[in-house]
Amino acid sequence: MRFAPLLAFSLALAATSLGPLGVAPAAAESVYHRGNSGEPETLDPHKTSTVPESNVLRDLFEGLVAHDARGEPAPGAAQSWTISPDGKVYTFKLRADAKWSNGDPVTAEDFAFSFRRLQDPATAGKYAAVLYPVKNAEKVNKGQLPPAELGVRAVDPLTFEVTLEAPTPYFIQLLTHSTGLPVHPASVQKFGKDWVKAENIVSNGPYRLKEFVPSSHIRLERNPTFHAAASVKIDAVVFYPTEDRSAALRRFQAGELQSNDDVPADQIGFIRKTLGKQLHLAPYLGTYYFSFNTKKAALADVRVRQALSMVVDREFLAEDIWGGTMVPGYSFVPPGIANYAGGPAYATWKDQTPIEREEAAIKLMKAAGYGPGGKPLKLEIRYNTSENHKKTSIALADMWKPLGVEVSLVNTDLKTHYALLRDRGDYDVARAGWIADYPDPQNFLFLVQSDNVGLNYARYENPEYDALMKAAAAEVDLDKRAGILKQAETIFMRDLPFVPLLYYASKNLVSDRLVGWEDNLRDAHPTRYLSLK
Amino acid sequence: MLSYALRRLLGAIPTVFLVVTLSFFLIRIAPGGPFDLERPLDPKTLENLNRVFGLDRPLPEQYWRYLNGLMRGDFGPSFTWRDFSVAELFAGALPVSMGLGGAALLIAILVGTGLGIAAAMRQNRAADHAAMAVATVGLTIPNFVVAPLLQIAFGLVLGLLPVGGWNGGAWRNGVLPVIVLALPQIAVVARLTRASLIEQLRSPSIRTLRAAGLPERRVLAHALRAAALPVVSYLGPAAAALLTGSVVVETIFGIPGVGRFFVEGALNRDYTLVMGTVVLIAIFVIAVNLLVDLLYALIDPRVRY
Repeated sequence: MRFAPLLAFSLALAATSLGPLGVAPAAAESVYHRGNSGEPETLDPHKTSTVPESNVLRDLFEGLVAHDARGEPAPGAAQSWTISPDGKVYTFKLRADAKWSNGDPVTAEDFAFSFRRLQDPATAGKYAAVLYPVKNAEKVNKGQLPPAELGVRAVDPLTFEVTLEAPTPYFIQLLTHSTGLPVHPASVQKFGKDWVKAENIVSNGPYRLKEFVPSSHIRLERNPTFHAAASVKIDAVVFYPTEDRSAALRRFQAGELQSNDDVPADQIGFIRKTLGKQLHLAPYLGTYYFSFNTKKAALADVRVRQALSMVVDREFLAEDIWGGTMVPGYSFVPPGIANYAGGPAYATWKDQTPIEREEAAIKLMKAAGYGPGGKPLKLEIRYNTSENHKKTSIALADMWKPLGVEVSLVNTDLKTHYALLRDRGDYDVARAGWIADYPDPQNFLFLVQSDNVGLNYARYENPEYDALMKAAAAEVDLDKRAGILKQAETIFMRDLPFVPLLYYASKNLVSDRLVGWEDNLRDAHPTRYLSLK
Repeated sequence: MLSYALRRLLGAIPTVFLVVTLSFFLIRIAPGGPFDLERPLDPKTLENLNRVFGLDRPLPEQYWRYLNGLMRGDFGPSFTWRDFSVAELFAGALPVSMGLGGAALLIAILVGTGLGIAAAMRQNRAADHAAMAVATVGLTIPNFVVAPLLQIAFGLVLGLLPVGGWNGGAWRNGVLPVIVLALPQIAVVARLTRASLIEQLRSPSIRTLRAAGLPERRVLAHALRAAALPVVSYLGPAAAALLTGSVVVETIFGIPGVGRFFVEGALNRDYTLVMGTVVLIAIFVIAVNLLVDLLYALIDPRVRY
């Protein structure tokens, strides 16, 4: 046989990398294998934009304000803060024992440097806008002012002062976002964009970066210089980009992962049956909705929009289509959100029976000249590729039939779908969803402000609504502000530029071995509060 | 033969250049860009990003810069993995894919030819039917079905091997992915070997050898040599495909290979990563085809360069 050369070739290749046996970890070491359903684009907190990134960054860095075990804002690198009476100046007192992983103290100057770096156009951070409430931030980010003009100041090494453009009651919540994390100035200046590599990085969180192997894992190890290092129980945490949810489920079942932050929705029945309480479904800060194009003839009539919303059986969608991984939604702002005393403004007909609702809806349609016996109404529903978006759209078509609405469906890929909405392309009804960046009703209600060009897919314009949102932005008193926002949401629920259908839920697989996991609205679970048994 | 190889390699340069040029402009035609997200970015933020990555410059200038970088071995920064350059990504991932692909190729050759020869020698008997049935199954069940089944059988039920993960290249983590990669190749190689050998065994030349009283073992050796040609032709492109990774296998098992770069690069409009991948595949295909042609000369005495 003359296969020898090819054999030798393959053997040589095989030898190059099916390398040595894996090294067994030391017996006493506690290692947490954590499924993180996507690959971080970057570990540079100022360039960050995704949820998988924030899960890793939360362990690597500590901002002025951090998430506690319940996902609530808690003192982080700042031990306390005071707010000026006009709500515009925040003064943070830093911990004296906060240290970087190389032993340097964490100073107010480090935070000033970091806040300026985030807004520096040269950093090109995707989410710099999260901290636009800081004075001059937007102008710095747009290159109209130098970074030195940003409203931040190191009063002394342990006192950091932030001046805001306007009172922003959710500013403390904003600071828990990854963009508020500090970077080590000396390392950034020395290594440029390579400062974030495992061999260069200096961080101030409970963990430090040991290894980042793209598509394989990110390994963090305990940071001995962290001020609360003594209370950190897990020695190392390994994040896996578990893009294949089914494979992640199998790895979880085999004990290779102690948690995973998503589940394959089509196997939810099987998961409930086999994993029982290791499946954690909890409310999450997001709303699943369909946007109406309010510039279209029939949809411009608010009665038509109301009717279309009333006849949707949200319980059916949540249970039968989404397998209980979503919660029926009767408001645009999900319940449980911070700074919203009294809860969201629910649809007025929330507690009516389906029959009452259908009757009322048909009446509304008739009044608008449509419905059975009226003008025919043809609507096109657009959705981006996904089995469940498709099923939801089909269900809507079915539920709208009694109103005499004839629906056709159009499916495109995600980039095309959102490009059309953003560029104000032609459509009737389109599927969309919103996950909050920070837990405040404003982060939902601002979507349909008339000046929100990119996200107001409905092209909704209501001066009264805009005025309320503006008034809320200027109100320092949180209770009064909640009242104003609720008025705005009441108008939203009456006018329905979007029809809210479901609230998102977080879907975690959590092993019985993992102790200290608390389900929460932010789906934030810092490793420092967890332990393995 | 050496000068032939050299000439072929030189001739490959314009080919690679053409491939680079075509794909550079084709990927830009795809709608959307690397920074189009579910949530639209502020136009100014987008402008900042484009400037940092040089996407604000005219296309011919970008092309010229890319070519210049390429000459120096600089494939540019990745848009998807912003902490890494494309060269760094390939440096980490290529050995992984080549290791797995190489092992799978080796197994495909050994098991595939073995099965094929065994089947050809016992043509139309039970062993032949059994071998071909197995080969057909290996070929027709797609890898995204085989991989989960193996994970469940060996990882979950039997607990013999890890379900997934790479674990720095520990051999236990490589077993299932190699099997999944090798199975369809074994099937093709076995069927090709069988068909080709049966044809050779019936050929006048073999009949002549037998008539001349050559021992059956030596007759078979002659037949095998001739039968190897179609198998080698198939293995060339198959090797190029195996060594440059498989997106399905890598995603299901969580393996840091280059296969994912192909698909994710394209979906994310990661221009530089797509370009790097294209260059890599072009080089592999050219190299493997050259190797196949050289092997021809070794196997077939009629071929001379």
